[in-house]
Amino acid sequence: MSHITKIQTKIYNISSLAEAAEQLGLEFIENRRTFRCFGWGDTSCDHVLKVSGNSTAYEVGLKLSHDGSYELKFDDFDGGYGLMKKIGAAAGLLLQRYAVVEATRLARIQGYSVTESLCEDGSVELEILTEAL
Amino acid sequence: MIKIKIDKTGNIAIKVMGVKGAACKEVSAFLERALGQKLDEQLTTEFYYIEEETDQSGTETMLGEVS
Repeated sequence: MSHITKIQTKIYNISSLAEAAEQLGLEFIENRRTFRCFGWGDTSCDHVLKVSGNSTAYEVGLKLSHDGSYELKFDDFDGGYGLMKKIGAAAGLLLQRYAVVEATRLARIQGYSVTESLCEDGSVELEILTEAL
Repeated sequence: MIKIKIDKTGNIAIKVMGVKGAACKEVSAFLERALGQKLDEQLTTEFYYIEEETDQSGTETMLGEVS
């Protein structure tokens, strides 16, 4: 018997998020308290992700939630002037890359080896091997 | 072996293979705790995985989609 578990990614590790963002062409700005967007609503946050080399693109605000996870705040109007191409619809690519970085980190802490591959549908697959299995 | 598939929306499917009994849950617990909110869990057999893993066109199906 084995099992399959489905999980919706939540961001708990800010270091892994910063690494994931860098891989997507974003810069992590620690402790910046507002993020660039159209300007309506609450623009408060704890950290910011900005598109590297693009000063007109909107930004992602990272807001710490009560459960210890980070909420992603962003404005996708007109593609966020370049932001949405980097982070994907509903920030899906950013969540995907974060999950890859964090799962790989966790597996290596356990002493497991990890192989990453890209699927035709855009999914990323990780194979985690250990002699113990 | 643990296989993880992460789609473009950030949904994760974790599949543990080759571990008998309840120990299979322990193998992947360190990932399930840390990566987010558990949506669903299915117990299945090794045979079921083989049937599920590749469709007729030879492309991978999303892990966990088969009910």
